[in-house]
Amino acid sequence: MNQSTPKAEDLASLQAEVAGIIVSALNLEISPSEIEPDAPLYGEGLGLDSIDILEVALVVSKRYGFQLRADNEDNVKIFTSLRSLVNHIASHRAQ
Amino acid sequence: MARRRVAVTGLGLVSPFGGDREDFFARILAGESCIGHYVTDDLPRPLSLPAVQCAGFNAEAVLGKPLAGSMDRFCQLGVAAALDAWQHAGFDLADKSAKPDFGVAWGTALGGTLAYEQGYRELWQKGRERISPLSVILGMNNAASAHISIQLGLGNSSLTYTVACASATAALGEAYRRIRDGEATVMMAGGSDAPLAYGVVRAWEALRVVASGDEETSYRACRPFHSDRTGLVLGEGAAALVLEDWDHAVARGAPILAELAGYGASSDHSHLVRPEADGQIRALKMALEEAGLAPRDIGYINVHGTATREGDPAEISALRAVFGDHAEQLPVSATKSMHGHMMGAAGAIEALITVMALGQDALPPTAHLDAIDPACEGVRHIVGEALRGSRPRAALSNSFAFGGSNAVLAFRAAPKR
Repeated sequence: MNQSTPKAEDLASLQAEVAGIIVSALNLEISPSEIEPDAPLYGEGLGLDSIDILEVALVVSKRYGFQLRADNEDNVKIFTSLRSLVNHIASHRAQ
Repeated sequence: MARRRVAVTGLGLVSPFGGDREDFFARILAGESCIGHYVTDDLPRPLSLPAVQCAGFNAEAVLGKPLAGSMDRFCQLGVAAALDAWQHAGFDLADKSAKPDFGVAWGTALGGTLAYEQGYRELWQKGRERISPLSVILGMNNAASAHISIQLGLGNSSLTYTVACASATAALGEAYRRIRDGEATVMMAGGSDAPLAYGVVRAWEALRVVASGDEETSYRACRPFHSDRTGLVLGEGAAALVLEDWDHAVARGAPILAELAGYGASSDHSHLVRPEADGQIRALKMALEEAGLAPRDIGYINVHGTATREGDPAEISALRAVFGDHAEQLPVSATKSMHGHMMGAAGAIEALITVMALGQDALPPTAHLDAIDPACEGVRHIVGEALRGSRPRAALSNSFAFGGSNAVLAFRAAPKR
């Protein structure tokens, strides 16, 4: 596991990639760049519900090689926004 | 090794209504019963009771005469449902090539009971010295999984689960595990039963759990959760689901109907026929946990609900324990009120209904439920007609068998397409 602090440009490209994953996993009718990095993913922001979050968690787990459990108590924090999710992936990814 | 995700890519059945899966689901949504009044002239006491029959099913037309003749009815029904599901999943029936990583898991409670009964009649009723040389291959409980494996070229495991009323649910759950763990890519899973043998019906009657009815009232004989429920209605039928490794389904462009996301299996280890909420609670929690679902995520449960005095309140009490505050809002229906208890096929037909209900605008009701037993209150019973507007994203299908075997399947809607 890579726990070192990622560089800013790596984070930016990871953010674009994760935005793309969210859009394709949920078949959203928006483009990845339309996801505001700090807008809430749940409820009023992007409008995702807990089942959508579970879907994203499964796809992210597979893509980045670490367990992101849907019933993790920290999920509210991890899935606060695209930015918080990207930061979590960056510090936990195995691949 | 990472767990694989399991997609449902095909649904098949032999409908007692006579039509296809869409017709079956539409009628179930409408609260229509396919329970009829079943009369035979068997001696010493003719049968006269409510039952479900696939009267329009013509095995020779579906399977051809030689093949149909080598099968007991439970097997004919099962193979027909499997072929239907296979085509629905976009596979080619003509492709008999070997598929070493495709398998079958089948449920049946009574297996070839009609074939055995026929043998007994020949021996003891008609006084014959010999019976049909086909008796063993007609009667064996794994005949359906064997025939399905041969018809479709499935070279992975061919397994049969006999877990009374939870047979098909166990078959589906164990098939799911094989794909999840990477031991198979595709599994044909489901169940079939043809329990209307004279001796079997008499045995169930003797247990005093079978509903009564006459020509006029049999269609509404099965009344789960009703304060005057009188028991279950035996029925014949078959249903099958094609379970498939998620990535395999995506790669071949198959439509993903739902995800089978979790399976819970437990044993009451207490009593042969009196169900215990504790064992059911463990199976329910296991299915939710494995699927990564919280109780509030569940938008529909197709309950076991057979309409027995003891079983119905035990199940509701398990649901209240697991779902807590959410239970009162949790839409629940017992579709056995319409299609009866298909024994080893029950879990498969109910899984089919659950998959079809996911993401849809309508959930099937419990029919004839005009007076709810106070002991069965505490959930949102869907009464009389379909519940509109709830569009569940995740749902459970419960099967709680005699013998204390509990099996629960957790399904999630496929991402919107």
